[in-house]
Parts: sequence; structure tokens; C-alpha cells
Amino acid sequence: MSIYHIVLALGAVATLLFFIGLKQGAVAAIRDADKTSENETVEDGGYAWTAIAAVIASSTIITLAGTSPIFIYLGPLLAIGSAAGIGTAFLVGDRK
Amino acid sequence: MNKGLLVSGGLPQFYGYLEMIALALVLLALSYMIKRIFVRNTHGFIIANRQVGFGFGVGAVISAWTYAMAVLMSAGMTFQWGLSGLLWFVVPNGFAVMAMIPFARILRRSMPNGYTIAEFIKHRFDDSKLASGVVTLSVILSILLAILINLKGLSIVMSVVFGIKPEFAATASILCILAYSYFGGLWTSVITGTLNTLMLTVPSAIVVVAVYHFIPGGADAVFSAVGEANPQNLSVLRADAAAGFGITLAFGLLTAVGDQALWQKVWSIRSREVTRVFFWAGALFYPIPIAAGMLGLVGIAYGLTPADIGGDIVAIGPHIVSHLGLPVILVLLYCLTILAASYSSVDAASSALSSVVAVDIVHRLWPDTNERRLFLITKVSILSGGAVGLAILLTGIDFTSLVLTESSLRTAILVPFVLAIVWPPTNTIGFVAGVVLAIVVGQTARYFHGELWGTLTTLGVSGGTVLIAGLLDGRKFDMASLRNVRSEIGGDSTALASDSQFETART
Repeated sequence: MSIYHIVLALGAVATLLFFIGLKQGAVAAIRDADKTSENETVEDGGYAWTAIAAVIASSTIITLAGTSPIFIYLGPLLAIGSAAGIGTAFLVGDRK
Repeated sequence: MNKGLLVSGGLPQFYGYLEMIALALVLLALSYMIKRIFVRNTHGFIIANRQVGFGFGVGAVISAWTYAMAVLMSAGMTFQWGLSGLLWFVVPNGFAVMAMIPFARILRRSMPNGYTIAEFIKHRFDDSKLASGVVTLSVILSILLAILINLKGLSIVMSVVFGIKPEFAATASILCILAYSYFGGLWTSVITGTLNTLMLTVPSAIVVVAVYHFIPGGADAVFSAVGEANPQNLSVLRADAAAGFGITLAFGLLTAVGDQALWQKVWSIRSREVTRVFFWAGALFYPIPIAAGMLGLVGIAYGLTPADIGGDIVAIGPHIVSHLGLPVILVLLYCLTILAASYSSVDAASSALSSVVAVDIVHRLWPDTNERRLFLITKVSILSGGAVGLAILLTGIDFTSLVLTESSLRTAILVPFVLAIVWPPTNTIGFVAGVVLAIVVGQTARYFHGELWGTLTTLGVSGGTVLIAGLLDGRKFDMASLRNVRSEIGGDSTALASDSQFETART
């Protein structure tokens, strides 16, 4: 099985996860359409470090692409991961 | 590997028009349903009743931020500068989204009933018409530019892949986008944008991997050819890439802090979700341009030059995809990625324009406008923004002057705007003088010393002026007073949220 076929399979799984999440998100949005929103913010600190980690991770992925041909595929694989991530974001849902 | 191995590319124009219209029809049907379910008044139209949750928030921010040109330029910059080009293009792009977090947290907490950044400036600076007017102008120009850039990116792809004249592609696409944007406002933008994010990720990844799969020798051959062309192509440490465009671009992208399309999301997302939405949007955005950028390496491997692809390096992605002899379905999938990027960004820009028109223009100049008329004007403003953008593109005017004006305004406003949020002594005189002086001195420096020094001067002068004026005056603005700002548009269910809730959240 080539990496192309693996990506096709992973893409199908990520798409499925995306739509499962989207469906759940849409149902929740329709349910809450007339709700009043609350002006609460959560003081969830620590995002500075995770943001820096994200910057370092992206730089590392690009750097790795220059060290071995296999890492050229890392970007596309992570892009599929992004679709799965959005689907997961719906499933995780909002804070209560 | 050499460019003689590439096949003659191009698909029938019919396919291009069909793809543009088919995507629009799907989104139109979706937006009609969204309108029936979610949109009941102007408030719902421009701010989605502040009920956008985590999942839709992440999708909407990614889709608004992923311009068609960003997908194309990541390959273009890689083609021109190797992996250093990709690094300098991608890293500041994702960081710009996450850089919104501290300011978004402060403003959403301090001014929960806000809609636009010009509205914030108005209340922050004693109803100063000059300060809010300058910001309104900057925001409108930014929105027009966003529409233009995306239409331009889409036109390039339609021209390279299908041979459609750029002006026809731009006209057809803007008609498609406006048709569905008109109906549902921000909810449409958020939901269709989220759907478009799927198309920005999975199809894009499949096409990039397919390109390497169908090239004889695959990634190994490309990697070797790129290194043989110039070993520096595989390095991320090329100083000329940083000096050539990287540093200037990084500063330019940080001006996203003044992007109304993102601020509209800040005020429409449920308040407790704002921080993690922007973090995850930035993190999940990163792989999109990284994946697209790998097409630039293929261009280098085949020994292509800008002249081979029509002189514009951003055409390298569509040129590679349409000249490798890939199955038609894969070429169409790649175009779908660009269409999705373009449609969602123009839609987000149009939606942002509707909020500015409603809050900063109509409501301010004609406060007695009734809800029915305001709703209609708001919707029509979406059409007018697209029409103006298209007119500029069709007249063939070199929109460099628009880019320069918008860029100088946005850069000049950046530091004063940030200080207005985080530094209470910032005052009206400092803000206005900072912006005006920065434009004058910064543009002069840019004219004589180039882009980088112009940008640095603009940032230094604007920030320095605000700081001096603030220190001389000594008075401090009470950000908590912004909590008393009532919703500009009727129907805001959050307007009377209790202060006790707010205090609880703060502690």
C-alpha cells in the first residue's frame, strides 16, 4: 500500500469524523439558536506556551521536509488531521 | 527531471464554470436553510446572536483567514525561496491568528456588547469622530482588499487550469458568492466557512500526495532534484528570504489584530469559547499552507522558471497540478480547494462589511433608521462591497495604490489600537496624532529607504506618539466603563447580562 492510498483512507476517515462532528454541532446550534448568551469569560491561561509550541512545531515540520523526502508528506497528513481536529472540536463541544 | 516531461495542461472551460456554480448552488441551498433557522433580525445577521460555539468558531476563523492567495502563495514562496520561503510565509500566518488571543480576551470581557473595532474606538476615545472615522476607513479598505486578493487568486487558478479569462472568472465567482452571502449573514458565513474548511484540508492533502505519487521516482526524485538545483532550497535558514520578504510579511500579518473579519468572530463566538477558538484555529491552520507549499518544491525539481508559468510565481501550484497528467478528478479537487478558500474569505469579508455598515455608518449617521430598513441596508451592503471589488478588478486598474493606502493605514493603526486595548493612559490626541504622523513619516521613510524601514518607522512613530501623549496627559481610561456600552443594534440579548457574572468570571 502506497502512501497515496494511506492518505486516501485517512482522508475518508477524517471526512467522516468531520461530518459526524458537524452534524452534532449543527443540532446544538439549532437547539441554542434562541438562547441568550452569557458574558462570561474563562481565564484559561497557558495559551502563550501552547501557542509558542505550535509555532515551533510548524517550523520543525518545514525544517524536516528539508532533511528527508519522507517528511514531505507530513504537511498533507497533518492537514487531514486538521479536518479531524475540527470534527473533534464539535464533539468536544462548548464549555458548560 | 526537467520541464520537458510536463504535459500540456488545461481542462475545458465548461468544467471550470460548472465547478464554480455547483459549489455556489450547494452553499446557496445551505444558506437558505440557515436563514430560515437562525436569522430573524439585523442582530442575528451581523453577530449571529453571539451564539457561535467552539466547533463552528474554529472552522469559521480558519476559513476566513485562509485566503485563496495564501494557498497559492505558500507554493509560490517555496518555488522562489525554497523551504525558507515556506517557513517565513507560514509561521507568521498562523501566529497572527493566535496573536489575537490576548486582545480578544480583554475586549470581549470589557465590551461584551461590541460589534466592530471602530465602535470600540468610538467609545474608547470620547466619541471621537476622527478616531473612529480613520479606523472605519481602514476597515473598509481592508475588506475591499480582501475581496480583491481572493478574486485575483481564484482568477489565476481558473485561468491556468481552465483557460477562463480572469475577468470572466472573477465575475462568475463574485456573483456565486454574493448569491449565498446575501441570505444568511454571519451565520451563513460561519457554517459555509466551516464546510469550506473541510475542502481546504482533505482534498488539498490528497492532491499534494497524488502529485508526488504520479511523478516518476516520487518524493525521492523531487527531493534530489531540488537539492541539486540549489542545496539552499532545502534549508530554512536563507537570510535572503528573510530580508527579501519574510520580515516585512511578518509585520504585515500581525496587522491582523485590526482585521474586522476576525473581530466580528470575537464578538459573535460565545464569550467563554473565544480563547480556545483562536488558539485551535491558529494551530489547525498551519498544516494547510505547509501542505500546499510542497507543490513549490515540484516546480523547482522540474526546473521551471517564473517565465514558464506566465511570470507570476503564485501560478506554480495550479500549473503543476494541471501539467502532470493527473486524473481530471484530482485537478478538479485542487480547484475546489482554491474555490473554497476564495468563497469563504470573500464571504467573511462581506459579512464583516455588513457589520461596519450597520454599526459604524448607518446607525451612527442615521440613528433613527428602523429595524426593517437597517436589515435591508445591511444585506445590500454585502452586494455593494462585492460590486465595488469586482469593478476595481474589471476596470483593470492597478490596485497597487489601494494596497499601499490600506497597508499604510493598517500598519499605522496597529500599535495605537493595541495600546488602546492594553494601556489605559492612551488618549484621543495620542491615538489620532500617532496614526497621522505614522502615515506621513512612515510613508516618507518607505519612499526613501524601502518597505522594511517604512514599516518599522510607521510602527515606531505611531507607538512613540501614543506613549508620549499618554505619559504627558497622565489620565487613565477606565476600561470597565465599556461594559456599560449598550448594543448598537436592537435585539441583543446579551445587553443586560449581569455584572455579577462578569465579576465571577474575572476572578
